[in-house]
Amino acid sequence: MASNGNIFKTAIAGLFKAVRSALVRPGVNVGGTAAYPRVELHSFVENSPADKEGRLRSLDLVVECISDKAVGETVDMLEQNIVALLSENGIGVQGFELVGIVPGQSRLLDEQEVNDQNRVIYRIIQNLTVWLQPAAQEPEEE
Amino acid sequence: MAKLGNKNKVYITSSLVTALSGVTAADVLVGETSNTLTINANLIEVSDKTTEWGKNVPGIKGGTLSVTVNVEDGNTKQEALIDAITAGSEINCFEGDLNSNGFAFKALVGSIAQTNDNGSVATWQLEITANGEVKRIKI
Repeated sequence: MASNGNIFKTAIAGLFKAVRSALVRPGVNVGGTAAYPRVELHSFVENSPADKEGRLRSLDLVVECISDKAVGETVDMLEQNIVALLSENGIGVQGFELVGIVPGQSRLLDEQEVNDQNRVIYRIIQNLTVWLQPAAQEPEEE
Repeated sequence: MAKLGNKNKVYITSSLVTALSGVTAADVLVGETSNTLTINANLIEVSDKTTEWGKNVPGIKGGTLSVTVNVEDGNTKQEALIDAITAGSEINCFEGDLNSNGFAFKALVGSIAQTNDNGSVATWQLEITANGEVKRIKI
């Protein structure tokens, strides 16, 4: 059967790198460590392409802020994350253009949790949806 | 063999397609998410008292194409459809699969409805009505 020549290129790895880069800042650990305060990125889901040409993509992810000092620190981290992601120079995903970022639910988990080292921690979970399309435009003119 | 719906796309061509060689991938209507092509044949009732069963003869045939696209600012194919409705000019459509078959027709754009949902991309719902024959094009 003939191919329609439409080769799908996933955006998930590029988005992970881009979001991580945008959120790195002094005094905050972004993933890859057990230190506090930290931001964790997880639950990346790339949804089915939103059009027949496979151009428009929506990806869901979770940005989690964790503090071992105070709930206020997690709230502050959350606000800084949103500002960083939604700023004009927020994220650049290699090979894709950013269509937009839509903040979803923010959930403050139990105000006090105890981690596996018996330390009290505070967490906020932020859901985000990111819309992307390939930077290289499909031919539009004859 | 069954076929996925994403194989049948809408193409806007510069002239009426008479063979598959007359339409290329570059003609595709960018951003399409779905389309519905309806070909209808009106029936004219000619029933009489000679039988209790109804009788019909073929009447006027026509076609309508309903297509939804994600709006892409500045895209030439999408802009062409806006131009067509404002100018009242005909467009040339092909709906189908470049590798097997489809339908070609001249058409007028009857309506464009834009939907702007919070948290999602803007879309256009276009209603396109065939202006003349809807021709089956096969390999």
